[in-house]
Formats: sequence, structure tokens, C-alpha cells
Amino acid sequence: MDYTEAILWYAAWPILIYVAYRFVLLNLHHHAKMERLEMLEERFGDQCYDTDPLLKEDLK
Amino acid sequence: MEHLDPSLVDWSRAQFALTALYHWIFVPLTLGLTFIVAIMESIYVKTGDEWWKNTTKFWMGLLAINFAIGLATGIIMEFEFGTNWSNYSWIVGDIFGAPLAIEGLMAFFMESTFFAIMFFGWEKVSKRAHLLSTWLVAVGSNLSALWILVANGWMQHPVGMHFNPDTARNEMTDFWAILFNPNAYSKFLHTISGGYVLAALFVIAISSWYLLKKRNIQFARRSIMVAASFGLIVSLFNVTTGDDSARQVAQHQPVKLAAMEGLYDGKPGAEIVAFGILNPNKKINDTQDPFLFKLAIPYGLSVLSYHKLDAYVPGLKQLVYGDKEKQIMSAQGKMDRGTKAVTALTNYKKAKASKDKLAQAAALKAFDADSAYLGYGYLKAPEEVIPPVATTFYAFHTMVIFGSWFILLFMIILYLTMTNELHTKRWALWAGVLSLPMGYAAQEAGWITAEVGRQPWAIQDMLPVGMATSNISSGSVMITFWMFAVLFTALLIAEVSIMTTQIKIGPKEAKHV
Repeated sequence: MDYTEAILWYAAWPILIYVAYRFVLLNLHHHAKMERLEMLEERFGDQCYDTDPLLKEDLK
Repeated sequence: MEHLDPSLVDWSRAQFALTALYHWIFVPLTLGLTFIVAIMESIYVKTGDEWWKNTTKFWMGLLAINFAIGLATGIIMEFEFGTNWSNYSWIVGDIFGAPLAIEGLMAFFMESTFFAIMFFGWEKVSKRAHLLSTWLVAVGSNLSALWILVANGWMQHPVGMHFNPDTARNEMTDFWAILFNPNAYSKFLHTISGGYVLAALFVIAISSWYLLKKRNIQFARRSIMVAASFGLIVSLFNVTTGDDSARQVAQHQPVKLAAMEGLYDGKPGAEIVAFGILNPNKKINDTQDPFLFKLAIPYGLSVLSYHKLDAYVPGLKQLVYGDKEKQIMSAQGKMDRGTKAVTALTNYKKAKASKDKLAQAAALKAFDADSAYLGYGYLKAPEEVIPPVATTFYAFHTMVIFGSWFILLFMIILYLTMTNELHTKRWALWAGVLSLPMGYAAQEAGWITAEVGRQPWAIQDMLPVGMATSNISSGSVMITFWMFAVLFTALLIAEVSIMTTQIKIGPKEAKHV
């Protein structure tokens, strides 16, 4: 009996979890920047970009 | 084997359906929430930010409530195999028992042991040991589901066994064939990914409620971000596993597929009904249109079932009455051969009792020729092979329509979260809240499709449900049905009220490190 297809499908389970985890981390990274920008905007208004130019660059 | 009291069969079936439906309110959330919690705790360990620890603890608390109540319904369901389905357990216990035993010994103990560390061990073990426990709970709970679904997949497509005419039992001959059964892996992956979708909806719904109430803003936004990201990936995977499940159903349970789609007349290039209202007066052998209204996608069913535009998909008429041109045997033909198998088995037992070796060998030869149709020998009419079409059709379409909506919802929520607009879009927050009951409905609809759609079989083509129950009084099953109905409802009310209280209290938010 050839179980290759079944083994590949079962192997997809941990891969799915890993991909989902990495996708969460990727979005979290972006989200952290958004939160930081929000905080700076609250503190410094539009000048926040001068305060943290790298942030503006990241958000482009 | 003999036919049992129909009311006993109905009450036994109702009791199992009740237990399974209640059990399935709790299980999918556990399957998915364990992984969401593990991901959140991984972020905590990775960043060292106490804020994530508190967030993890909040969702873990809700998980614990759900886990405890899910356990109670699950144990009752396993006992019902012995009390209400002893004929079934006798005939296939050698096969069905093995995955259930592995589930109990390996997965369940693993899950429960590490659950204690996960829940009570925050200050007692190291960060990494705790994280490992959390991941092991997630893996263990999903491995529990694996073995149950291997058993269920076997019932939908029995493989790796042979029927022993001496004991009238099916015995396992190939464990790997059962584990790697196409129905087992497609059912496992589709079911667990469905659970992940529900867990993502659960986190989004509660977090959206916080945002609507303008409280715990940061907690809610971050939780939504994690859940929507996780939900989007797993819901896309859920579509691919659903596609594989449909292919398995087309190959091994074509009557179920025809019922899922309300397909009475088979055809090449069959369309798939995206939305439809069935004609309640439609009978299999009349010429009425099966639908009062439908929106269909041309060639969709052929593509879904066989991945070919012009593939022929048989309808209920062909599957019940046969089609010589397409080489489809009629249900009556299968019943005739099943009856021959039953007769041969009876003759074998008689010959064995009289120690007539020649007659024994002849009966066994006759039995082997028709044993594949043994189950059909216990049916009374060809139309009995048709499951309840309306229930199967509507359940299947509820699952698919809601499942498609969830993908769109995850996309919208994730986009609005990433653009920092979610908290200003009340319609999106309400959509997040209201999608949670839809998630539960989709879960239950999936199970109804799988289980109602395979009627009249307890084991596909082998054992009709009417032959599988215990020979006990229907009154006792009826009484326990109502007892369980009250008990499960009380458990559900308890879960909802404890969870609601915890949600209203809300998470303890810590400052960032």
C-alpha cells in the first residue's frame, strides 16, 4: 500500500501551525510599529515623524 | 443478527446525536484555543513582555472552563458505545476500540497531565518548561481528536479489516491502512482546522465586544490581531481540506454527496448549488424539479468531486435504481447479494454446528463472493439507502456559506487592524461579535452533514444503524435521553455564565517591560 499522500497530508498539520505562527509574528511586528506611531502622534502630533524618521520610512 | 425495535433505534440515535452535538459545542474551541494560547505565550517568552503573559492567562482561563465541561460530555459519549450500541461494539469493537484506546492512553493523558502544569504551574516551573507544557496541551488535545477521527473515518470508509464468520466480528488486519485511510486524514485535518477557525472567531468576538464597550482597548486590538492572522491562515487551509473531504465522499459515499447537493439526476459537468431552497414535495421517482430556487455554479460539483470539468456525478436515482451504461449497481442488486451473503453466513454456522466440513467450505465460498454487500442484506427497501436529503443539504450549505463568510471576515478584520481603523468601524466589530454563533452553527452543521449524510449506515455499506443498537428497552434509553438533555443544558448554561462573568471581569493588563 502506498501511504505517501496520507503522510504528506498529515505532515501539513505542523506546517500549518508553524505558518500561522510566523504570520502572527509578521503582523505583530507591523502592529507594534502602528502602536508606536500612535503613541508618538499622541505625544508630539505631526512632529512625531521628525522624532522618529525611521518609523515614517517603515510605514511607507 | 436481527432487526431491533424501531423506537429503540430512534431513541438510541437521538441520544447519541444529542451527546455528540453538545460535546461538539466544547471540543472545537479547545482544539483551536490551545494553539492560540500557545502562540501568545510564545510571544511572551520571546519578548519577555509581561503584558503578553497576562493576555495568555486570560484566554487560558476561558480555555480551562471550556475544557472541563467538554470532558464531561466526551466521557458520556464513549460510555454510550457500550450501553446503547453494544451490537456495534461487538461487531467492530476490535477495530474501533484500538484508536479509542490510543486516544485515552496517549493523547488524553498527555493533554490532561500538561494541562495541570499549564494552568497551575506559572510560578512553579521555568518559563520555557511552562511554554513546552502549553504546546504539549495543544498537540495532545489535537492528537485526541486524531484518534477519534481515525475511528470515525473508518466508519465512513472501512479498510484494513476482515470479517470473521466464526465470531461474526470484524477484525483488524492492517493498522496502518486504518491510520492512513484517506477518510481519516481528510476528516482529521478538516475538523481540527474548523476548530481553529472557531477559536479565532471566539477571540475576535470577545475582543470586539471590549472595543464596542471602549474598554481593554490594547488587549482587544492585539488579541484580534493574533486571532485574525491565525484565523485567515487556518480558514484557507480549511478550504483545501474541505475540497479533499468532498473528493473522498464522492469516491466512497456517493449517495451522501448526491444528498449534500440535492442531486437526483446524475450528469457529466454537474453544477454545484451555491444557495438553494429544496422542493419539499420532491420524491425520488417523480419528475418534479428538486429545487424551488437555486443559484448554481456550472461544472462546480464535477470539479469538486473529481477535479474534472466534465466528470460524471451520479444522482440519487442512478445510485438507488442503478445505471447499466455507467456500470452503477442498483441498491436492489446490492440487497440481493447482501441477502445471499446473510444466507451463506447462516448456512456456514449450521454446517459448523453439524461439523459438515464440505458444506462449511461451500457456504464460506458463497459468503466470500457476496460479503462486500453483507450490510445491504439487512435493508428492507432500496430507498432506505437515501439519507434525509433536506437535513444533509441544508447542513452542508450552512457550513459552506458560513465558512466562506469567515474567510472574508478574517480578511476585513485583519486589514482594519493593520490600518488601525478597526476600533472606529462599529459595523466590523458587530460583525466580529455576531460571527461567533455562526461559527458554532457551522461546526454543528459540519457534523450533521457527515453523520446524517451517511444514514442508514453505522458503518458504510456494512452495518445499518438499525442493527447496531443494544437490545434494551426503548423506555430506558428515552429516560436517559431526557436526563442527559437536562444535564447537558445545565452544563452549557454553567459554561456560558462562568465565561460571561470572566469576560465581564476582563483581563488584568500589565504595563510593558
